Amino acid sequence: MNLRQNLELLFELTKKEIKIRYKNAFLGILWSLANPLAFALVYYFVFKLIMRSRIENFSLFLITGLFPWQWFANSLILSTSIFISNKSLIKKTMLPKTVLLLASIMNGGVHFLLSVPVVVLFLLLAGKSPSLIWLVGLPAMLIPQFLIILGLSWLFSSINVFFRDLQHLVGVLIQIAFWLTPIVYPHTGIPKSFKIFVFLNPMTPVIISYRQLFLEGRFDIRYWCISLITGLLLSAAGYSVYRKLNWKFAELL
Amino acid sequence: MTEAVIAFENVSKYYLLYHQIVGGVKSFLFHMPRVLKEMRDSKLWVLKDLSFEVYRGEAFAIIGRNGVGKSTLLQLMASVIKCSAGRITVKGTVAPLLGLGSGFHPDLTGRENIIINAMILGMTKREVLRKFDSIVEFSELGEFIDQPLRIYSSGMLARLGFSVVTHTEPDILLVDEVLAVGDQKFRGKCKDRISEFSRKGGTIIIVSHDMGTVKSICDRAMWIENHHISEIGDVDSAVSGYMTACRNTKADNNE
Repeated sequence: MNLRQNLELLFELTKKEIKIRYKNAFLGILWSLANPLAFALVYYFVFKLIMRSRIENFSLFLITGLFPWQWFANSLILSTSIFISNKSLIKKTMLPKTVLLLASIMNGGVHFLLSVPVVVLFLLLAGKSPSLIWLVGLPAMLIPQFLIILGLSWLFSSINVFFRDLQHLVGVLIQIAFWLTPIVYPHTGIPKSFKIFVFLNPMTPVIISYRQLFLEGRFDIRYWCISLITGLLLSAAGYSVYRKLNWKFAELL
Repeated sequence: MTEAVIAFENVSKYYLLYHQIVGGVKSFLFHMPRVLKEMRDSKLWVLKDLSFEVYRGEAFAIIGRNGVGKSTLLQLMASVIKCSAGRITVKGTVAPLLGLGSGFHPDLTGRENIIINAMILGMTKREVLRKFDSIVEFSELGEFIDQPLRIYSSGMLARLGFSVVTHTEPDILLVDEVLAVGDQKFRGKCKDRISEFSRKGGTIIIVSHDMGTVKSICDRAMWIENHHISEIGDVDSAVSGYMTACRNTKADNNE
């Protein structure tokens, strides 16, 4: 199969994933907005009303970090078990296996993009407006985030074929990583002794970038570069593990 | 005419018994040295030192009891798995009919599934659209084509799967027990389709327990027994050899 054919297939599989997700639901694609919104509402309730966070426009602040995070978290959880859930395709066809991963990540990416209008809505409610720099910043940010998710997906999904425990572990790790990422708190107020943990997290520069972009209309090239390098390194590492292991998948599934 | 499209040279295949590690990290970590040693020793041999060739345009049958490695052979030909030793050469595109309709999704309609399935099997979108009507016509699904797959009967699913695979126009078609499904009429149609494919110069490998099908379709047969080729060549002689062997074991068991 050549590249064009693979891209076509990728497009078709992504479309399929999105279709399946809402096929029998009356409200269809609206659910993809309901889910992140419900999350945002819960966190707003807890942090603004109960814990009285002093961050201004807390709900806006929250969703600008939460929405990109949800792409990361949901895609990674789905990808980890993707070879197991697509057992028959792996065992019986010569489908390039990475296409499955890519489709699941793209699927998450589409839902993330669908949630951007919600950000705009909250921005307008707070008396601000989207900035033109988004047109550059947003597409630019998709690349490093995509690479980070892809790298970790290659790694986790390959190992998960051998150690099925991993898919449960990943769920737990993502919970922990959520709190180690500046999502419900700003990255500026972290105590020195904890800073290292937060900045070791590959998603931290990504979330910071998105937030600067959405809230301040600022695109900081330094954070983007750090994210991109992290993404490239993770992809290289993930791919090398995947390449070593992938020919055994059909035997083990 | 007698160009080999599939060549197996001294091919062996064993599986390592990975169940210890697939079984979970806990048992693996607790018994690591023992497990690693066991893994190296516990090879499950499926095929030992097989050499044979399949020629262009022939219909070739692989027969043998359950678990002798017939499906493993097909997976090797489709290069879904790798052999442990030896060399396999395959010339041309292979369409695996190993278990039909892998990748079908019950919530999508027949139409949507045809497109996805055909593309997974290696067709381009344009090819699929061009052959679409012919695929639907052959599958005889009629107005069901716009219904979700979950309401299809197993026969209908098989028809759809068979129709898609044979429309990918491969050089080599791998058929694994699929002719056992569908009604008499559709089975006849499948056989016609296979012989037509064969007439056009396509190569077919069939794994089947239905000796009638094997005899009526195939030019040559290979009987696998005890990890080795027990007989290869003339269909009638391979089939009768296999049948005799089966009857003998039955007799042994009855004693």
